[in-house]
Amino acid sequence: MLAITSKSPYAVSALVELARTGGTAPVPIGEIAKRRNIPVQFLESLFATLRRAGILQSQRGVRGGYTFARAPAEITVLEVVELLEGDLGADSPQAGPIWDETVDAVKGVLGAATILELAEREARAAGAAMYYI
Amino acid sequence: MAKNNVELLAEVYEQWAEGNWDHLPTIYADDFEWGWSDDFPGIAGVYHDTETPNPRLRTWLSPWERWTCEVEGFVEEGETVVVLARYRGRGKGSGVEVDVEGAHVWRMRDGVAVRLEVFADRQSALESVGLA
Repeated sequence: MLAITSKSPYAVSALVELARTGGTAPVPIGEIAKRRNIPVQFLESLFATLRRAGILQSQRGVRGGYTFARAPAEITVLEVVELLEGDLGADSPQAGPIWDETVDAVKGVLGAATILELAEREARAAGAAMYYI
Repeated sequence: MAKNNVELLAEVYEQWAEGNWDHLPTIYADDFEWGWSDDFPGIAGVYHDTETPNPRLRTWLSPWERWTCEVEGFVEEGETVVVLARYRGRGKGSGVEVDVEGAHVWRMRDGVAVRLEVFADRQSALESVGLA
């Protein structure tokens, strides 16, 4: 009913890393993978989905990599999760009202958090200021 | 004179270094197993996959327009060989290129390979066989 696999935490973590360290220049996916301890083979498949959905854009080549196609302040965690996992709670109508409320609550939390906010939270926790242009 | 394990494995990597993943190595035992470490969500586990490339390898290769694997070193301990690998790939559609380290642990038996375990990092691979 609320199937969130490891794809979502990995993708969100990688997007937060991109928000924290990226600017206008593309960030090599190998660097993001290394900093976040995510297998690059796996990350490329996640980023391919996010690129096709218009969240990321890529630049080809050895010096290529990924940048945001949309501002991280406009990308919610829920959007990322549902792109990778499908619509959360799609089968909850048969499960009963309490499960509908559970799905709504989870969607509320994930929908209220943006990638930029998560990046800022991380930066604050690390004691660093963050400036995103 | 019979080839040793490293020489046998070097022939496999000659193909993989060219991105030839359709090549079926002759050293695979009939009961050859592929093991994917927990580093690889969705494909982690041990499988007796007889197709080449097998379904999980196809999953691995699917985001890439080109993917190669070269050997940077062999660490041999009895019938176990750890291959320190370097992967190079170009993303399908994205065109982004990667150049990263990886590692494989091969279990050999009388000149044939009985298991290949794939790791995302070398330290984990070496630790898995008590070599780190």
